[in-house]
Amino acid sequence: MDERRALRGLTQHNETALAWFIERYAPYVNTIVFNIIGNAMSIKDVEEVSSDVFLVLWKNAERIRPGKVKAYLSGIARNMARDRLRQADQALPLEEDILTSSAADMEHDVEVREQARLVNQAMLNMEYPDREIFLRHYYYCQPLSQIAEEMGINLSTIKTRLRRGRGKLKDELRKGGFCDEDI
Amino acid sequence: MKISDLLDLIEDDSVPIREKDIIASERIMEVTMAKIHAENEANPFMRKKVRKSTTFVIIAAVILALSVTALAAGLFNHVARWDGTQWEETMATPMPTTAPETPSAEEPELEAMDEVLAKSQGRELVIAKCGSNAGSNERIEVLTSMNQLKELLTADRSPFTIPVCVPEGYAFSRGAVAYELAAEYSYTLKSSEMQDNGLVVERYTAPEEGDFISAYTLVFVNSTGDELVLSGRMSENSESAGFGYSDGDNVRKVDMEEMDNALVIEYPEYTALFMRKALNNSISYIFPLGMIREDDDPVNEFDGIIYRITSTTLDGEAICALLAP
Repeated sequence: MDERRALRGLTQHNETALAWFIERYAPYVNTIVFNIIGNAMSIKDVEEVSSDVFLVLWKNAERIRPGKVKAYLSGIARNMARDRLRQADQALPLEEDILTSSAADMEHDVEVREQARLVNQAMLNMEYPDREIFLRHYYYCQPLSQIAEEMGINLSTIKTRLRRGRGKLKDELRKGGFCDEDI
Repeated sequence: MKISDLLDLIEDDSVPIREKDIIASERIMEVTMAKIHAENEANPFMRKKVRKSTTFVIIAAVILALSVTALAAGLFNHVARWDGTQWEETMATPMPTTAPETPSAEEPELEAMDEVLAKSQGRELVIAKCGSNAGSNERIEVLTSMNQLKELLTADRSPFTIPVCVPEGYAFSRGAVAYELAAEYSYTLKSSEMQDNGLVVERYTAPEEGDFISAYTLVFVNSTGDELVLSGRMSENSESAGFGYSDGDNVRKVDMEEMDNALVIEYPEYTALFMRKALNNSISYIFPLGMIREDDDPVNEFDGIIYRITSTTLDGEAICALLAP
């Protein structure tokens, strides 16, 4: 079975197709969810969120393009885990900056889309390994020590490159008129 | 806004993160399937490919009787299977409302889509599209009597069975049948219009000779207003169906004549008898949303019928006795 056939199977609510995706991607989804909530919650919570992620895949299979399932799952897993953390009133242990006004202040969807475009642009402007370090920390919520270990780069370099990535993102947002000037 | 919040707006799979062996895939499959079965059971008329709850809204407007089961959605923490096996699951966690593919800005458009579909009744198929979202109505015919259903089933040479008479002490209240189109036929586009709000509404007709009844519901009421609800629906995976229940609910496997499986579940608010009858030959039908994407195989197959009888006053024994007096 390939991803195209498996997706088609999902749209027909074929359980074998779902099992194919779970067999293939559950460790990936579990890892993302664990990175985000693992320190604050139990393995049972990780199991709950991960199964919710595959439930979303089951329900939305027809809107996902072949070849995009892994990225889709990563986005859903990340957001669901973060929702779970918010519900428990827990914060992510990340080195964060406040970059722009609150999303709640945004009056128009077009602003959100423009920010997404700028974020993507900033990512594209980052060189290896800055982009990967940035994503590992802010997207996959990996602690700096884990990034250093997995990428074989020392911790101080990771910190330097992360700071550089933050600067590039701020530049892009500032160009788009989104970044607060007093940062 | 924080950096990690901004990254909610993207999807990434480029980073080779080291995967952790935390939970067995089999366990994730088991928990996910339990949730799917519980949702299917809570919303038996839900079209599987319709995004949002469009179909349920429509059916619920016509057949209020289903609401008693819908109330239980999300509250179950166990799932019972036909063979009497039972799973213990934690189902209390509500589904998060945020997901990257459904930004809140689309909600008004989705509501408009639901509104159009909710107004669409009868044998006409209506598909509403809004951006990457699409939904269809359920093609239903409202029943005015049980005899009408008998006549429709006979004319349809349908494999459904219904009680030979109205249960003693009860009178017919309301009902409906739902239709699907046999796979060898196709829908014909009648009209397509774009509304001012950007919603595209397509209306299709189905050849009557290709239509077949895929579900029915009958609601009976007694002199004190208590309802007895009987429904039958064709199912694609009838043998693997599961039924949600909670701690303290009474679940038992029973034998019912002419049925392959039967379960009684006594919930706090009502009692339900679930029964399955396998179809001798599976029935293929064409799924309307298959028309939306070229690479989507629109043909699906029903392999059995699942009947359900619910009552807010009768216990399991009394419900079974109604069918085998």
